[in-house]
Amino acid sequence: MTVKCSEKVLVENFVSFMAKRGCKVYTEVPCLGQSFDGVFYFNDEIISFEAKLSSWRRAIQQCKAHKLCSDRIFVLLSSEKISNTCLLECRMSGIGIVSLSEAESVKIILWPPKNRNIWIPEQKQLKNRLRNL
Amino acid sequence: MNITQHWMMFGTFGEQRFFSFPNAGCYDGIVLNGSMVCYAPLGLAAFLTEKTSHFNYLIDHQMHAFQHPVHCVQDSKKELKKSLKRLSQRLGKVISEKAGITPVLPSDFSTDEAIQDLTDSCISFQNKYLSEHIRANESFRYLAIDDPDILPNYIIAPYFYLTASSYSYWLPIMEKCGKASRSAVSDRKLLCGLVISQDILEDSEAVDKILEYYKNCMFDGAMIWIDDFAEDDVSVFQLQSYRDFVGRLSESDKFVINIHGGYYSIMLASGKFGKSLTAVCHAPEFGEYRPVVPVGGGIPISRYYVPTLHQRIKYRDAAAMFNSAGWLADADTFYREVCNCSECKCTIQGDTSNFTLFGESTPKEVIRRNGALVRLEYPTSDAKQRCLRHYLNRKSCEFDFVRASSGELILRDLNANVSTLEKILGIDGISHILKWTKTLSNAK
Repeated sequence: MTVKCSEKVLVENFVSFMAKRGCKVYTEVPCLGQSFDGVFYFNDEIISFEAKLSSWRRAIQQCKAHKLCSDRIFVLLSSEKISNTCLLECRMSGIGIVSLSEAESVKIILWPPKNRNIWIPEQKQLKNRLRNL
Repeated sequence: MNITQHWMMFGTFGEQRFFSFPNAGCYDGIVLNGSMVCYAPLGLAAFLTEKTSHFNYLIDHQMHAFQHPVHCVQDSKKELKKSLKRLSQRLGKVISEKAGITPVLPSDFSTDEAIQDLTDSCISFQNKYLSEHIRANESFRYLAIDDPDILPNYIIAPYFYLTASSYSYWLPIMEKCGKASRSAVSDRKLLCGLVISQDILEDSEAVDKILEYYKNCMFDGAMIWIDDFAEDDVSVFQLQSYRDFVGRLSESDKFVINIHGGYYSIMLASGKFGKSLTAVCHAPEFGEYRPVVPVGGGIPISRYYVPTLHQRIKYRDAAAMFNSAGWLADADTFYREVCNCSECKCTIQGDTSNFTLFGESTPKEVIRRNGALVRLEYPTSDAKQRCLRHYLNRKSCEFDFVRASSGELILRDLNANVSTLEKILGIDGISHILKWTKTLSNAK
């Protein structure tokens, strides 16, 4: 069942979920001419995501820009019912899936693989931005 | 005068210096918009006389602006834009009375008087408005207002925007105006303005009628603008129709300029693929295609012109493309595979991490309609200038290349680009080059 909330609430719930685990999530991070919904450090890696209530294809599209600078990328979706097509396309695109359940708990559906297409100068730029946020 | 003439459209005064970039004399002419002429005649007069006195120029009177729904010519206060108001006052009684109130209609020009007034005003505007201001300049004050040295080199007859469904209404009026213009203009080249929708190209009857009008009025050439005609996004059929159309317009060595053209137009203008365009124009800030009804706004995104693709793409897409191809590995690879123009060398300076300077941006907070706060990045002024100088360098190279090369070499160059780029972008990413090659290969 799709959780009734806005994209903003979806991100906020994820941020508080991570905060309880001692991880700071930066939201609305300007990068490469767009705004990444969320970015955080995890095990010395930069992980970023785009959140979508529906239209996961658009989320995947938006995630393409993350590939220049994030070690791992995922889409944050509001539904636990992730279709096989969505799963397949994310797997093919090297993007993970995290969903927010109705009980507002976060579930990792597909762990994002390590991104091998990083361009270090652009990742440095992102790290600099995070320092200034 | 060059074959394959390279023209540039005047956009803003901030871009004046680019009319001698990458070198003085690389542009053959300037297209000025009527609204800009009316808005800043003194500034433009100074620009033409001090910086670009050796240039040919023409004034696009933009008469079509007044036939569109009035919201297209209104500002945010729902008033007729100032520059267009001044322009409307120069284009005859009908337009000055209706501008910003209601669209101009074909029925407004049902009398000979209305036609003559429209034609006389339109020609007089192009001939006198700017030359009066030019003459005020110190170095030109001894010249008469009608001295050829300060007049536009081409006069555009009155024109309206033609679509497949509206051309039959406007063309008879344009023909009457064209004939009246022909009687009035004998000392300079008279061009017809063909501002048309893409569907005209798909309508052979419409094309025939336009060519009949063109012949009947004995024009010396044509200034064309096809609505939002992105040469890298249209079909093979549209490319062929466009090629055939401009080919027919250019018969008998007529002067034909596309005021919003890209590399496909430049290749056509080389003359290596049959008679075609004489000149291609773009704006400093791109402008290789443009919708007739302006659609402003949007977030400015840095775009980098990829020379082998002949496309200007978002900085992030260019960086991703070059990174996956390994072209950002070191500076020599970048210069060899991407670009070695003066701007790229100056920016990269031996270290490809400096390629990020083409995408340099500053974050700004924007409040969306739903009240949500979003941080977006806007390109810095420096980044825009870098992208612009690189773009102009490459445009200059493109013109030089097609002028100096045979048709076979031009096609071989495209095919070589395909071989390299298809491995990176897949067939979809280079489909426009395949379409160009196909269209040009079967040119007469």
